[in-house]
Amino acid sequence: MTAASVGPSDVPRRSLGFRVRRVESGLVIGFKDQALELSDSAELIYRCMDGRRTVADVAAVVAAEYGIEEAQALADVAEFIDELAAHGIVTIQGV
Amino acid sequence: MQHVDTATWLQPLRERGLVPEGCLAAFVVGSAARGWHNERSDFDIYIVSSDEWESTGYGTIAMPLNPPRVRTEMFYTGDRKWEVTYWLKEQFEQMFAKVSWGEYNRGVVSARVLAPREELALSRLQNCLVLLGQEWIDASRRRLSESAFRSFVVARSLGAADDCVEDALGQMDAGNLESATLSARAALGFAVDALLEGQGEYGSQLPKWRPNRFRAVSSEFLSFEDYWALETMRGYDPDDPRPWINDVLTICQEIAMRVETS
Repeated sequence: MTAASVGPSDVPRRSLGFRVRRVESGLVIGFKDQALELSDSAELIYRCMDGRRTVADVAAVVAAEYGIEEAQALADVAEFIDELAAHGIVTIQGV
Repeated sequence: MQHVDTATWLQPLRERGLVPEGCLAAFVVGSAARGWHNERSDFDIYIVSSDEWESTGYGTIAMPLNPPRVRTEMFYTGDRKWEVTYWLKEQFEQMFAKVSWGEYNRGVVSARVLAPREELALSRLQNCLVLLGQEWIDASRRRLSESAFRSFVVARSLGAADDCVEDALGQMDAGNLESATLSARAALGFAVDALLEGQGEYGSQLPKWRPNRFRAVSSEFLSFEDYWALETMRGYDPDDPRPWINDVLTICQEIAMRVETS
């Protein structure tokens, strides 16, 4: 596993211009010619990235929702955000 | 619930011999059906029957159906214009077939599945005032709710909103903030239409009624006041339009995240 490059105080924001659809199975993001189907936890993270919450805030929401340690949630959330940021699906603002 | 004085509505039609033998249903559509009409509003009536309407002075509107037309009659009572549109039962069958789940799952392009007048005709079943043929209307409303109509129109409106969002972003990048403003406004309209259609409040073919349609449903995440502030561009700064444009595009994205397409 690669260490995440986003930090707890970074503020992620969903990028505009990606096609998003709610289908029966959940949320799908159109990415180039592919469809990225989000799991429930991935959707929660994606929804939280509103340009106001920090990565640590998002991790706290995930930890509370799934009853996991905040440190573990922070590592998982940061890794996922890194992945989305690499595709431009989220943008990161440093604080 | 609006009281329907059926006899009063039918009298001008019957006096002019405009209700055919074998009429399956007659219903008021448009603003009068919803109580949104005013002194200058036309009254629109749909009549459904098995045989094509015949008279000496009917008008014709082309339709992508078989037969490829509907016939119309127009008359006045005082200053009030009435327009009667004669649909065939088979034409409604054809429109329902176009919005079946089979067609939706086959990936038929939402924007092209129905012509605007066809979409309006199906939409209007939902909130019409029934004058004759309650049974036919009830059965048609059931078919509409069981069809993929909602999914088709939601997908069409979201797709149109996405296209406008892309335009707005490109125009902002290029520094064309006036066009980006107009694209964002258009995106908002389509996205709000999708939000309303997702709750069964159809009629996006007539954007003038969007505020009325918005008030007719309740949206948990976007209040009427917040919607109206965006629609009337209350937070728009001509010297710095980017924040307003970004806010609008973000609302469009949030709507897309909430409205179910299937």
